[in-house]
Amino acid sequence: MVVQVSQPTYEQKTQAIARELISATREKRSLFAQMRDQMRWDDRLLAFAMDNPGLRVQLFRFIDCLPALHSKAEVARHLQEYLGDPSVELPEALKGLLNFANADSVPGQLAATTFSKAVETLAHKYIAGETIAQVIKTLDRQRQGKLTFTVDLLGEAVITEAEAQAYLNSYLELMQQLTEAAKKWSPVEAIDSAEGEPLTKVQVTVKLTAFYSQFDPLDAVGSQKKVSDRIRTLLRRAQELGAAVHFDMEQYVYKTLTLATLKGVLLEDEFRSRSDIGVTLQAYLRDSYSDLQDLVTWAKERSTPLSVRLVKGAYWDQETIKAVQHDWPQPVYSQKESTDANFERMTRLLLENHAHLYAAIGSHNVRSQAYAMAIAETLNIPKRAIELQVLYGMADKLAKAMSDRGYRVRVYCPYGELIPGMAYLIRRLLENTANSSFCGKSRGAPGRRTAHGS
Amino acid sequence: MALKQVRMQLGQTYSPLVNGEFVSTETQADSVNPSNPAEIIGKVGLLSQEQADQAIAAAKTAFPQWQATPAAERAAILRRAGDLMAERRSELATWVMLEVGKALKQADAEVSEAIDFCHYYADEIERLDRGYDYDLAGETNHYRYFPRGIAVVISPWNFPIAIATGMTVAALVTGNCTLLKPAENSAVIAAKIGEILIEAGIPKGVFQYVPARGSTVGAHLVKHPDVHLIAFTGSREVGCQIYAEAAQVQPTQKHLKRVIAEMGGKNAIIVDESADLDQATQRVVTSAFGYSGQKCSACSRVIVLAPIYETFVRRLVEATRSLNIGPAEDPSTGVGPVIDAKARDRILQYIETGKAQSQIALEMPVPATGYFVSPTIFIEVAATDTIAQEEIFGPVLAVIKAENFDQALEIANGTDYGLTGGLYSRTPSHIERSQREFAVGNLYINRNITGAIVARQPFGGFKMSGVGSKAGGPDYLLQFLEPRVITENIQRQGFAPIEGME
Repeated sequence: MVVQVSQPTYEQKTQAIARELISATREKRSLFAQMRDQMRWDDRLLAFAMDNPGLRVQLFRFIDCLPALHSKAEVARHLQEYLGDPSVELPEALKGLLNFANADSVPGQLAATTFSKAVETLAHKYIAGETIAQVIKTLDRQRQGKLTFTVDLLGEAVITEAEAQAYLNSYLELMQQLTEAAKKWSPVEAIDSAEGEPLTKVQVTVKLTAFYSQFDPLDAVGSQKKVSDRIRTLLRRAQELGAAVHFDMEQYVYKTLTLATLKGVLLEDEFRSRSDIGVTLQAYLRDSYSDLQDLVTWAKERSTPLSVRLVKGAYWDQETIKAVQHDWPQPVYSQKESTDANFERMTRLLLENHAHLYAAIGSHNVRSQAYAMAIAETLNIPKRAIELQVLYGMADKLAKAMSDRGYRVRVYCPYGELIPGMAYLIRRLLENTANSSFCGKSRGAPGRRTAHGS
Repeated sequence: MALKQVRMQLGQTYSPLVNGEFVSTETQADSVNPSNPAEIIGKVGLLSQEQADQAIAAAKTAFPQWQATPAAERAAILRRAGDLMAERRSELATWVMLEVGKALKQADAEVSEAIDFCHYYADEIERLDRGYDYDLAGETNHYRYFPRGIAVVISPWNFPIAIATGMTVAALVTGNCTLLKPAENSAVIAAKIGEILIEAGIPKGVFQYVPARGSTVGAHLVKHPDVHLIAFTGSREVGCQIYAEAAQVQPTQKHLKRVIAEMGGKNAIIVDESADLDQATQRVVTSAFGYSGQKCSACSRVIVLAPIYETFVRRLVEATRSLNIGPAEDPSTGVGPVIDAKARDRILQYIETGKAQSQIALEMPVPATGYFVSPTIFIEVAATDTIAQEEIFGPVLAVIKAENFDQALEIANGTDYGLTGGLYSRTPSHIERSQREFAVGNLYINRNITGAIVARQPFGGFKMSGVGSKAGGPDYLLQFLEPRVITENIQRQGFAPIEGME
């Protein structure tokens, strides 16, 4: 069923919803900004980074390498090397902290400890836990706030077959423990059912390329066979346990093979009637709209709905650089505005086909979310067929405001150790200190990299 | 598609091209698929010494007219050749894959490099052809470049299309009559280069395809009194020999020869405490085992700082173990064969030596058919051990532990070679120091150390890695040219136009 509604109807409603969301998320902000001097170091670092682009670059480069360093002396030495760079204009508070002559000295050690602690605190804002036990606590808290979740294991790059097997095993273990914990959870109407149909309480998100260390689009047949075997194992176990599985989308080079592999497995008799599985599309890709059109056609043929998480995409810089270096056409839109516009086109296509595909709208951009809500409300889309998603720690207020409006909101919760989580953390920090976006100066508002679904 | 088409053409005979004619030869050699030596890629006619002399004579005859051909015309031929290669890209890559056992992705990159050489050197000759003018009142001074004469190009099998094309078109576009003597193992691909150059419009005698035995006819060409220049890429042993022989002035010879020689490397990557180990591990594996380590730029030593040694080695070994070993044409293959039985046996000999001196951390089973050698990792290797000093040119990696960065640099620089090197680090002072102190022609920081791109990473080293300046760089063509300065007094009877005065 395709429903056509004129664009202006959506537009008016979008703006009205957006205004409401903004006013709901704007309280108490200014107070926060005035308290800079009393802020803790982690907040101060972010504030410094926003004020000084030179410092921002060096600071994030330092944070990137921090977990690799083995001693306080090394941390102190690197601090000085990164932040002592002539391109960096240091705030007085930092100058004082870095003013030591010897990395092994007491002031050096103090600086190392202060920074390491601050970065750890920062990491915990965006990473839902280091262990499954910790993440379960977080999820419990989220559920009390009427937010459901998907859990993603932050991992090192999978470059050995032992690691690929371990990745699968970790997910089997994760699903086991989450579904075990879920038995003790009291039901939350807003997120655990839709139109009387019970929904899976547990969802995990996996990365397809991590199932095979030699995943290579040039070896499409071989790669597809290897990962498909592991996907089947995962999906079978998920069904036994009662967990939903969502597949992330990674770099462009993997996109075609990722979609082909998933389509292949999900058409097999064994998995054809599963509606608790999802795939991800990235609106920053120029061919994402036609991918979605294909997926609609495919879903009709399959006849059981699949979820599509719509995100803008997390690898914009990487894709842009790669294309430039190889003299290839850009797979991503160069302008953020084009991505935003495409995101809306895709949202509309997705929601107008809600009988065939369930929509999961992943964005921290108020306008993007408001647009989806406007369509959902205009078309009276069933609750099962739409949910809104945010990243853990990135848009708490927006999540609450959307949930208050009656939507099922899912929080993407990454968990894992700090070192493998660093790439994820740096992306969040970049977003959180970027200065241009729909609601510009507020924290939690993403900038050019408006990203979700890394 | 391309594979099917190329397979249908296997086993044909390729004859030397002398003075515009394909000539029949007394001897032939088979070029075989290293992944499956029973498959004959082509039969190659080998030039005799007399035929070599005929080729030199033909080159001599063709030279005056080629020298007089405007640079723009010579450049146009190169650009056409580049375009023809681009049209035949997948076919050429397939030939490379089959004849030298290189995975398709890398074979394709190599064809791209060959195309880049054609276009880049075409641009370069047009730049150089303008020369320099140092004119002043009453006198003009023109600094102009001229070809040297007859060039012999001796090309290797490991980059059978890129390097052979690069050296050949550099010699041609600068106005030299050029003889291409390819390595026997890759003579079929060299014949394809010949086809393309002829189609692009190179006159007869200007380019000649002269497959021959290196030790006899190849050596004869090097010593020939009419040869002006030898461009060589290959082993240190042969390179040194050519350098010495070219220096001997033969009877009737009236010039000194120029030798451009790209030789080996014993390339190291340093991985320090601050390195991103995800990346470092993957790129060391790529650099060491891509094309079975048979690149002059390949990594054969990894120098790891003590704090991360254990972690790094564990992951390195597992990542390497995860590579698929198989025929080059299988798309899942990470490590293919080595070039021939001789190479395999030589590498296996080094592995035995390694076992006697240090500890082996990885050796895997390999297919029985084809010239395969397991990717092999040695750990706890001393910087002075044989496998840490001599170029093996195979999938053998020596892991060396360093206590600190000073020591790491010292170990890195402690060989006869100076070709490529790498550093994985996020320590700004280490990155800065390596730029000054890591003595290699091509230093790569936080990336793999293979895969140089024309006009982006001009390629070549020093010390025993070679003599001459970088391929794909702004100084390369100068080596094929002889600059002359022409000064003319333009005063007649005290009269001359003076610029800026009435």
